[in-house]
Amino acid sequence: MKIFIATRTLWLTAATVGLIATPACKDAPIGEGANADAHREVLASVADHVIIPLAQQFVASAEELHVAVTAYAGSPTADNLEASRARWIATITSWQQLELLQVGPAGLMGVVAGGESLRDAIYSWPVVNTCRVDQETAREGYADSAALQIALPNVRGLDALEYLLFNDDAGHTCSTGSTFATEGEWEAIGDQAAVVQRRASHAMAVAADLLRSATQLWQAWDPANSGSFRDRFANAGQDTSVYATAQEGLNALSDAMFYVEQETKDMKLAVPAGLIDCAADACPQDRESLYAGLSKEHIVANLEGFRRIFAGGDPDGATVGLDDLLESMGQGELATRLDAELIAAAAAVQDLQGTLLEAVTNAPQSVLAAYDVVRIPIQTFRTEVLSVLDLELPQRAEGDND
Amino acid sequence: MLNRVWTGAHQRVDAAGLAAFRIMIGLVFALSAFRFLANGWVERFFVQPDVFFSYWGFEWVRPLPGWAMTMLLWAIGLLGLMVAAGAFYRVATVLLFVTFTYVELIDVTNYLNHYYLLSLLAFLMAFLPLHRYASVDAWRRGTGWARARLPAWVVWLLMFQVGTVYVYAGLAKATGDWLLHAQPLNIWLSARTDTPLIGGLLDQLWVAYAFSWAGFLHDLLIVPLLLWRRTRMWAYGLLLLFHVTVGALLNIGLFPVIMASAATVFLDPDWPRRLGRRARALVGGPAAFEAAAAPPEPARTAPPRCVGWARLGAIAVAVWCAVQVAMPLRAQLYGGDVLWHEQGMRWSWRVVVREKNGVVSYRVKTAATERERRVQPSRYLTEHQEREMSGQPDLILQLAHLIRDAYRADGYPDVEVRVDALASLNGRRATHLIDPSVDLARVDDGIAPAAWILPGPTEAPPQLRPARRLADLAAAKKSETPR
Repeated sequence: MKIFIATRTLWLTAATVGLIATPACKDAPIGEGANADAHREVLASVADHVIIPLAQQFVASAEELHVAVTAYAGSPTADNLEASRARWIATITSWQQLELLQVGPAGLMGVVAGGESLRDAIYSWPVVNTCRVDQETAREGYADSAALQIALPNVRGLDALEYLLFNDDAGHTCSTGSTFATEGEWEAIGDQAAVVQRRASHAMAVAADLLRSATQLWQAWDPANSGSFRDRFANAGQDTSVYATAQEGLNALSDAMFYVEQETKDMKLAVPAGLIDCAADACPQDRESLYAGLSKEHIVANLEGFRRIFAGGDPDGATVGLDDLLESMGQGELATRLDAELIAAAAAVQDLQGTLLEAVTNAPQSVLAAYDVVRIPIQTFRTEVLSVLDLELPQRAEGDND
Repeated sequence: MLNRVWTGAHQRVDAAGLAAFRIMIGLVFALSAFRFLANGWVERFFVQPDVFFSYWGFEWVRPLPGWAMTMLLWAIGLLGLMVAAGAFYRVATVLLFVTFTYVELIDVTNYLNHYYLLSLLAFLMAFLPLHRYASVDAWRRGTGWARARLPAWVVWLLMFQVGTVYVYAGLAKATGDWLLHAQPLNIWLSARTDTPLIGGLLDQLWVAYAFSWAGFLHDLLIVPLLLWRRTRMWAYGLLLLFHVTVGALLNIGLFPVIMASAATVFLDPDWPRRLGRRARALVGGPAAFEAAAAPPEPARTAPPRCVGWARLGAIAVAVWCAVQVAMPLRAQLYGGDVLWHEQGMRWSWRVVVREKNGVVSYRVKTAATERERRVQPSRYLTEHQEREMSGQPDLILQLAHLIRDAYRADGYPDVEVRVDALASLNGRRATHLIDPSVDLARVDDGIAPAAWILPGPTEAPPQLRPARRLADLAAAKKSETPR
């Protein structure tokens, strides 16, 4: 009898819980709450209004870049070089917002869920090695497109292209004591015109490889493709997703957004300004864009990308983002404050006089002041947003709590 | 009164419950060690870090090389199994205490309340005769040595140790954040709406309140309910439900298993026999259960006189108990919010009571340069260490000293180290945790109240509402935007 009563109580409890939970159910797993749905709304919006448009724009830019560089390789004139440079700038500008979105296929294989390491094939900064690029130029290793596809990231992508298109020095960048230098491989190319031609040819191969990677990234996200990562991302917590829960999907997005902390704030801004990891007063030689002189613009693009992700698309429009999630949970003040901090941060960097190199050299105090403004939204995100949404820091060694 | 206590403490109780306790705790040690190895935590916690945070007074503890740490964890697992089996029990418990505690002392960022509890239990078990029954030792040494009954004080001491955890865990929840604002549970539960069946309820504020009060009342009342015979079995059932629920919702590792195992010490000392009899009645089984139903030894024996070793033992137990009571109370001496300044936070059973996220950036100035330089903790720490450090002022101070020493070693004797350390407690707006004007290079660590830690926030923590359909919210915002 006692067993019967206990069993009946158990079933009644389960049934009651089930009934209460039912209104929250749609296609989600049984009993899921509204927050999980809201998380998926954010992920879907980021996919549809940020990642997919940017990836589409990026592949179009990469295509135009490839056309321009092919023309330049066919006829290495100053006009063609300028056209190639302009296309490279357009392409990197669109990439610098996508750069933050190392979720899914763009992310590092084995580290990021669904990662295929496409980001490194597209842009591997700070892993760059211009000497290796020179070696490939001299040895014409780029001519074998299959070999280029599996080459190390530091001889491929937008960073290699920047060096090939914007470096006006006809010399190489390997150390004078290296075998490459002592055996005269670079000099064997010929005179300056031959070097220009060789670099242009190399650039064409890299641009083709870049287009391949960009297309691969776009196809991975293209919602028209079956098995598109878009659905696996936006449906976090459901059967087709790589994320076990919607919270895990949101955490993957947050992990990607932390790019602005270590890479943007520290490596792109603080290191050249001499604030960290720099033995001298300043280390402008460690800035991101050494040849095109766009380091400042890249930082601004990263911050704007962050804001765009935070808003789930258009910061001033009706797209659904983390800001709406926070507002919906009663944390509208936090969302508004963080957005204002992000605008101020981007403006502080944008307002630096001249390039980052010029600002660091001529007005170092202004760079330090900009750094102090840039770190504010990142602090807010790392402390308050992480707390309120109960998100984990990226790559945190999984351990227990108590 | 003392005579009655002394006499009662030396009455003999069935050793079956204590043997079960030994077996379960031994297995928990083994499980902890093997889980540590399986998760690759030796590499993450002892090999990858370049620096380690020391406990005050234990700065000399350093990790062994990776291979040796791996061997040590295997040894802990094996020792746990030996304790469970009661094989060479005295040696095994002493070695288990030493090795397990050594591993815990290597880096403060690995501190967990349940590891601390396991160390304490290993220490106590080394002195307790839990191997006199149902053990390899008892089988090895024969019936003349084995005991089917053990003194009641053994059970009492273990009850006290386990009860201390619950009572102080309950008292730690008697805060405005926990009881009046349902934080941090409101934050944690709102992020767990993926949970099957009950997920739909977890973002409701009333559920967070219900869980907060249930947790508070459970921790505070479970000991008296377990002590009272009439409520004992119900209380243990409630305890199991509580730990299963908490274990399912929060990432607290083996804590529920440890507590559910340790709390069996509150059950009637013969509970394993009763369970065996019931199991036999239900599914059948060997008659050995019947034979073992009643220990042959008498329950009442004349207590030893309170002199010599017996007196010394009694004093040691009293001192131990006094320390266990006093240790968590030390936090009260510091004033303020212990969850903020964290002075007296460790070893005080403040289990899962805060959501704290911080961000730390050091500013270093030397006599040679006018400008301050930034030093990011990531230069020295792993992600795990940085996260743990960023909310704990004494660890922030330790890293400041490490940076100071590194600069001094590089030829900058007059280095000043300041810190921008902001933290958000239970979802509040982030504020400075450490006085950014204080030169931490000149601050010594110690147990005195730390003037360099700023007072905690006074405003109430935020309360989260369940999210509604965001598309509606965004559309409403758009319609409000002036064209």
